[in-house]
Amino acid sequence: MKKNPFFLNIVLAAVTGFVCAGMLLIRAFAPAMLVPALDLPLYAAITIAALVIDRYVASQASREWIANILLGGLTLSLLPMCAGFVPAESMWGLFLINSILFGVLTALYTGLRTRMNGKAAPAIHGLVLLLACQCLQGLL
Amino acid sequence: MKQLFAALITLAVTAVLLAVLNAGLAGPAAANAEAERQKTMALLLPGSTTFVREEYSGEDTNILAAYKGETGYVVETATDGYVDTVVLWVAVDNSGAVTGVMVRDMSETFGLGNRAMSDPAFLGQFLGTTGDLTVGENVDALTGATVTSKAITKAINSASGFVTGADVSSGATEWGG
Repeated sequence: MKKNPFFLNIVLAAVTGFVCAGMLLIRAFAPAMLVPALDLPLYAAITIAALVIDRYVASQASREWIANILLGGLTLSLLPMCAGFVPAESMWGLFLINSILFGVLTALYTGLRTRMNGKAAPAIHGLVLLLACQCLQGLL
Repeated sequence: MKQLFAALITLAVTAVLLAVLNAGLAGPAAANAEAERQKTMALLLPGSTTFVREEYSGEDTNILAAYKGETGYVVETATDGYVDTVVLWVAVDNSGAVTGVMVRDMSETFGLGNRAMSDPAFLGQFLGTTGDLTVGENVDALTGATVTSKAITKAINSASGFVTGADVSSGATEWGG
């Protein structure tokens, strides 16, 4: 597990599945509840959560960059479509955007790994990246 | 290769589970959404318990739908806010007075336009009004959120007009519908 280059994608599938299942349950049993829209900021948060978990569990894993990015983009577009949040015709456009998003965040997070050591470092890196994404969203 | 295969299997299993969950929850989701809609509308329009959707064939592009109750209408409106569309439910009784306002969906700026969703002073000023509202004259805008305030005011004018007949192509052609 520690050296599985695709462990990140397994974690991403689990986190995305968990979030989509939660939103399905909320939509079914608490329809009045306001939930975050399934858009780029939420996809970024899911990706960062997966990166943090991957860092803690599989700290020595290398990256198969092309395969990781394509599989990451597929995960972030296919699972919301299966959950009914995204129409099928939008899936390929979403795949392209989410592949880019996943690739950029993974590259940035991987680059941050060398900047700080310690047990809390992966979580702090994730938080910094999440805040950066929110700032960018505010600017856009 | 085995590791890539494991990742693909995980993705496929998760996709199937989500599809099954979506299909299984579709029925309860629709039923609960309808129950929530009826309950919320009953709160907005006191005295009404059942609401029937009426097709809107008028020219007011701000109106998405109208739900007829025993004592008036709940009109669903969509107007352009500062960031995106603001969707409102406006309850208007048969005398043309607004009895309830609820923001159903908005993406306005946090801390500014977003306050329209829950600011009781702002939303409360619309209760009892019968249309012809203008920000700066008989409506106090939210500080720093004039565009959002105008969008909501426009929606309420549309809803009042639907019931009072100000919209000449409205289904409510007589006072009280």
